[in-house]
Amino acid sequence: MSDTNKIDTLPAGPMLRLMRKIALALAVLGGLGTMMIMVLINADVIGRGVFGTPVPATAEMVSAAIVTIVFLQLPYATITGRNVRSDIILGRIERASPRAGFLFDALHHAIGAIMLCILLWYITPEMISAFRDSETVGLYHIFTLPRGPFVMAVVVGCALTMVSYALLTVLLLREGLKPEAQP
Amino acid sequence: MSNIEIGIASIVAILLLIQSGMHVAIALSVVSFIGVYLVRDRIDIAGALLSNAALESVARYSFGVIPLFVLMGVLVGASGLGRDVFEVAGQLFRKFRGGLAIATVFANAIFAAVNGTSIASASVFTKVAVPELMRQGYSPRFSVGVVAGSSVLGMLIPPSLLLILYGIIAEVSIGDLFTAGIIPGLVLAFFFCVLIMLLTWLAPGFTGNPRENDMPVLSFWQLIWKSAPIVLLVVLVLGGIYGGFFTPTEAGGVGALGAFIVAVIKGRLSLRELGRILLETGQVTASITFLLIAAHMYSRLLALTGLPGAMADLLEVYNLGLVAVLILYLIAIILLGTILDSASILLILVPLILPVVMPLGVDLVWFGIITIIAVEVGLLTPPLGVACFVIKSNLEDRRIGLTDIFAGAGPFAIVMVFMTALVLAVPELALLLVR
Repeated sequence: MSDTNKIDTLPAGPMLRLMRKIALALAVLGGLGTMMIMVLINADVIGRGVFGTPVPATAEMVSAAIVTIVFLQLPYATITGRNVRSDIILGRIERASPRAGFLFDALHHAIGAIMLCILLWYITPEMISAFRDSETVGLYHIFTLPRGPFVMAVVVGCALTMVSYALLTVLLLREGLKPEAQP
Repeated sequence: MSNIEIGIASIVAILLLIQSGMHVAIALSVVSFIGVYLVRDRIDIAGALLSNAALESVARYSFGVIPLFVLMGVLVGASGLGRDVFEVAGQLFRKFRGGLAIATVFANAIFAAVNGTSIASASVFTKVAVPELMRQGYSPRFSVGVVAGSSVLGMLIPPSLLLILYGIIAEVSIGDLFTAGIIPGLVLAFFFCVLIMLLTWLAPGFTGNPRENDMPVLSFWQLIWKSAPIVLLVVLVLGGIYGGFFTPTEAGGVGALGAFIVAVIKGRLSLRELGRILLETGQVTASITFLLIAAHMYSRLLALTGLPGAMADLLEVYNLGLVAVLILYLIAIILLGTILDSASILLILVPLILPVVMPLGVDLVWFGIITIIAVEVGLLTPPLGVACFVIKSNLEDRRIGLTDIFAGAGPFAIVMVFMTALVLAVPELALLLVR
């Protein structure tokens, strides 16, 4: 995990600021989702323990929501540079040559963008079929919700994570290619 | 390349990519995607693996524990409960030699029972305990060492994010793992206290010479006010799990609500602060779960290559007993711990080793506990020791360098290696409460 966060030192251009705002909004949504899970589980526990009537399909709702919450929060974790990594060698390269450090980091983010792009390519059809076939989550005949919106949130989160990676790639690349500042 | 060779190459590639600084989740998923393509020679199978891992692998009720326990930990930290429990412990151990250092360990053990990450423990106690320890005359090196060493309790005493990760990868009951972590956690805390007493007695050059504790004496009612919230939370979460009232996932929800109420009562929860807490929780949750999704892809790749099975056959040829295999495995963990973070080690090694040790009739709960203790040694060892990094970034005193922190944490890391061996030799330490 990194504490010397190079992302924070990038010049905050309009694109980066906009992306941070969008990612922040999604992350807050995800945070509220976590609170909702908390409330739902407590209602279930209290309902079951005190009144003998659990909230129906709690486990199914939480399961479906959890993926959504994670992907809503992933763009913000990415744009703020919080994804887990080891920065010993990166730090050494950076101390030897800051430009090489930026370029090397740009490469890592480029691979991240490509990987998310591949992932997006394969989960988008899942979203389309979830809407087309009106798939549902929950317990059949007791309490169900359409599956489409859940998968759509995953796709949106995935796409914005990809954009975050791509944007950081460009910014890191630009820092790395800048002419060295005169001391 | 044969499938086995692809498997071996994938492990080497992952280690190299992670070392080069690539995001761990990206490294795992890139290698898995390419690996599956090479094994099956069909790109759509590799793609199906990706989408399945992203959409299905975490869509389980038990994954709810991750955001909920993280939320609880962040709330507890924001409520200032770490400082409260440290002040109470300082009072309790006033009369002991090395009392305030022992109090730090004790406070960490209690704090660990309401919080699931060593990172949180390390950052809270760096701010709360280190300045106080140094003011009492402990050497800077030893002060940070005590905090680094005792922060590992955060992941051993339940709730623990690492135990949750292991439980998910190995498909072992998280409740059993939580139960099994208690005695080893308390024994380790006790060993740390003995270590502190011995060091202050035998190596005052290393520890410094603490004066009498001169922290203000708390009145009876202050003691109650400062310790009640954390005691209630511990009873609520652990009591609820062990009393059979709810599962660990539900305990996460109940505990988070409890911590939320405590924060409101203590007046620490402005709307702005709540927003910060939710974002912090989200960042930790997203990065951990992203790792788990990628690890799921990688374990599927390993299974496809047949590497774990081949490893089991190989070990059979050499006729190594279970103990020899386990010792090799633990040495591998401790060595990897010097260059990788805890979660990555678990994600890489556990899927590889489980098929090897399962036929040997290993109890997976016990196996999980020794794995976690060995993994946690890596939090304290250079060059990559996450607990020490966290302490460095939270220190206000810039004169204390990373080298000092690693040196101070050294004795504690040695005690942990000893603890790993002890639980290996005496499985009852982990299993006594589970059975």
